Amino acid sequence: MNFFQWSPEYNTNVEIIDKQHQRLVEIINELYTAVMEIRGQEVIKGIIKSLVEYAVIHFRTEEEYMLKYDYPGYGENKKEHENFSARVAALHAQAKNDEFILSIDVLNFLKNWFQHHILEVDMQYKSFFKSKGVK
Amino acid sequence: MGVFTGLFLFLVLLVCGSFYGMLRFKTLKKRLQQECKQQTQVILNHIDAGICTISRNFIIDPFYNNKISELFGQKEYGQTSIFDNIFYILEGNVKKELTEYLETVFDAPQASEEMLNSINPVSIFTYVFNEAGQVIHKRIKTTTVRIFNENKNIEKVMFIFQDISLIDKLEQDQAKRERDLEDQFRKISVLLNNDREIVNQFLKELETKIAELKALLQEAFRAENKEELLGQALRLAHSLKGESFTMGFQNLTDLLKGLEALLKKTKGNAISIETQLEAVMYFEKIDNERKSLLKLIDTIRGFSREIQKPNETNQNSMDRKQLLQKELQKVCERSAAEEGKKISLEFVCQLPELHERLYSPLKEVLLHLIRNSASHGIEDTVSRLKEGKSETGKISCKIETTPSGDLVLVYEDDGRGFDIETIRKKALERGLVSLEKAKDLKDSEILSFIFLQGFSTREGITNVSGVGVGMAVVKEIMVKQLKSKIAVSNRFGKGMTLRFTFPAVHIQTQL
Amino acid sequence: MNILIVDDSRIIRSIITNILKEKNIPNAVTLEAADGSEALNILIKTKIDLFFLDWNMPKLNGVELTRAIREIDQYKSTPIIMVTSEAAKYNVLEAIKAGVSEYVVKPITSRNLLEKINKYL
Repeated sequence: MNFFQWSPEYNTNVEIIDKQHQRLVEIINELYTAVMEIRGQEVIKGIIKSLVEYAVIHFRTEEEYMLKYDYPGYGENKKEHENFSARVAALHAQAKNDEFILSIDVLNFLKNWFQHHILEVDMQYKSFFKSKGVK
Repeated sequence: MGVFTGLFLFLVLLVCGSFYGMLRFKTLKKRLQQECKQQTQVILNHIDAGICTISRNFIIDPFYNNKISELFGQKEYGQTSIFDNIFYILEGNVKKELTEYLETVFDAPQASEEMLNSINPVSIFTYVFNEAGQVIHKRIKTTTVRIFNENKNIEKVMFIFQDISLIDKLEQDQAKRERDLEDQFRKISVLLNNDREIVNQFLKELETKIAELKALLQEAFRAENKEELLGQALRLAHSLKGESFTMGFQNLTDLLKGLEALLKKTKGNAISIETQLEAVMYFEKIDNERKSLLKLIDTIRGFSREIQKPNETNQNSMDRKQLLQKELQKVCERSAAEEGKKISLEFVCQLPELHERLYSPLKEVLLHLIRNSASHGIEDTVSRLKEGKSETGKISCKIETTPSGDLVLVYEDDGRGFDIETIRKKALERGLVSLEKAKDLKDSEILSFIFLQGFSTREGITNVSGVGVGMAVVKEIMVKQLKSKIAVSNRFGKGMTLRFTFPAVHIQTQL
Repeated sequence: MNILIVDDSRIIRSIITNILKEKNIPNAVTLEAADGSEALNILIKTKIDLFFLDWNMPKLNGVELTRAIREIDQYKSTPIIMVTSEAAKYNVLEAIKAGVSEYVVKPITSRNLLEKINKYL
């Protein structure tokens, strides 16, 4: 059972960005499955590692595109990226210190991120990039 | 004619000259003013506070510093009302207070700055805004400074805004750290005051039982027959809660209580995703609590290794009979204290040795029975005295052998006994029996209802009982595990006796 | 330094006087008045450098007295310390509007009084 089923309406129509967004959905589903099977604590460190990777690679890609084509919403988008990265960094530090991390907290954090940043904020550049002929 | 022209020219020159002079002077003055402003701006931008000034009409002057934008958001603040751009977030009555305050500030040149700030309604306020889907709170400290003109009247009021959220957060963190530390100390003292053996036993069992709970939940989430499995998980959580409570670990008890209440709410073979996630959340927290208890004990063990107690006994050589007696005494004490009653426990075991396979199940059974007696059965001291009973309630547990070689567990208390009519009514309420049938039931048949899961004549769940699970656990363990027969003897108003007879042979063959 | 203490309670006047005495202010002279009109008589004849006023007094209360004092040119910026049991916000605001410099709520302790007047000494 999946938390999120990828749907075409999640597409921004920029191929590489969509691929990366799908990766996030993969991570979320991975965590969700583990949580439902009460294996959350076993996978959480790995999940956080994946999130760090995801953040670094994906945000860099997205920001490069936004800068290259001079997307007006760049500032706001980037600020949210920074918040996300800060949160993931904090989680990473907690994991390193062997502190207790409640899997559900991370799951909710990612769910909210997906629903707000990807489906609302990122979606706004869909038409912008289309008009610039970006694929 | 020439003189006039000359004079005229001279006048013109003079006028022009003075105009020119004035112009030059004005430009100079302006330049000076501008430079001054720039300098001020530089200084203002370096101060780690948002600074702006307002006039009597509350309009913000255009030379506010950058920090204002950082604190309150990128906007144009100049020539706007401070009530539109910064204080819009205040509640109506605070806005009114602030207006009154500012009006007073502008009209009180004699009042000292400290006194005014001591009645400043926004001396500390919370600024809230939305960022990346998250709501962010900033705690802002405000100071007002009056700016006087040459006539000693107040021309402007300067606002100095400082973000003290970090300080706030540090204080909150500090408070949390103190609470956590207090909590740790409490746990440590509980551990130190408890019998070493009892603690060890509890923790050993805790690990096993939590693993069992996990397996049950995992299976329940996967399988079709959820009701049965969740019921088992509920019983396990209930038992664990009782034991944890007896030991005095309040955090763990609370978490188990939460899980228990959650599982109790689920009905039938369906469990919603939210409930499942919540159950997992409780479980993760419970497991984490167990781990931190272990860590705590290791720490204490580290200290106590230095102190060798003469009567420090090894777990294996501890007599299980003695251990059981100690543990049951503890359960009795804790439950009685929680219920505000006085209860004494008598424990007699005729067997030469309490077999390992008997120890756990009997302990669990007696734990539930004692807690039930404490909460339902035995009355409080006042009621008991009214009835002519002794102030202290009596519970007696005896483990004996019969001539035929069977084992008997006799549990007795001198409380209220079972109220047959209440049970009959409850059974009717629950639809367990029809009206006609209910009238014809014998007392012994009515009493059998008390062993049904979820059957409780008490409202509300406490630390001790009320879930309607305890007796079900008792039946399951005695009947299913130990193949026991149960005989209930009721003395309404005087007490009750439960007699469990089970084959010793069964235990032997399990060796 | 001439300090005028105006309060209808003799006890309060002596408390404030004692606190000031302990502070040992050089060249300080404390004068007392039991009500507003007595106070006005004194301050017209002698130049006062610091006022302590109670609020609730017969004939002329502290706030009215403050307004009267501020009308006088030479006392436009003389420090006026209101010492009163009235603690409500609207009281403080009213006193400020009338022209007091500081507001001390009773009961008086040497600490809360001295804290407020330190800058004027």
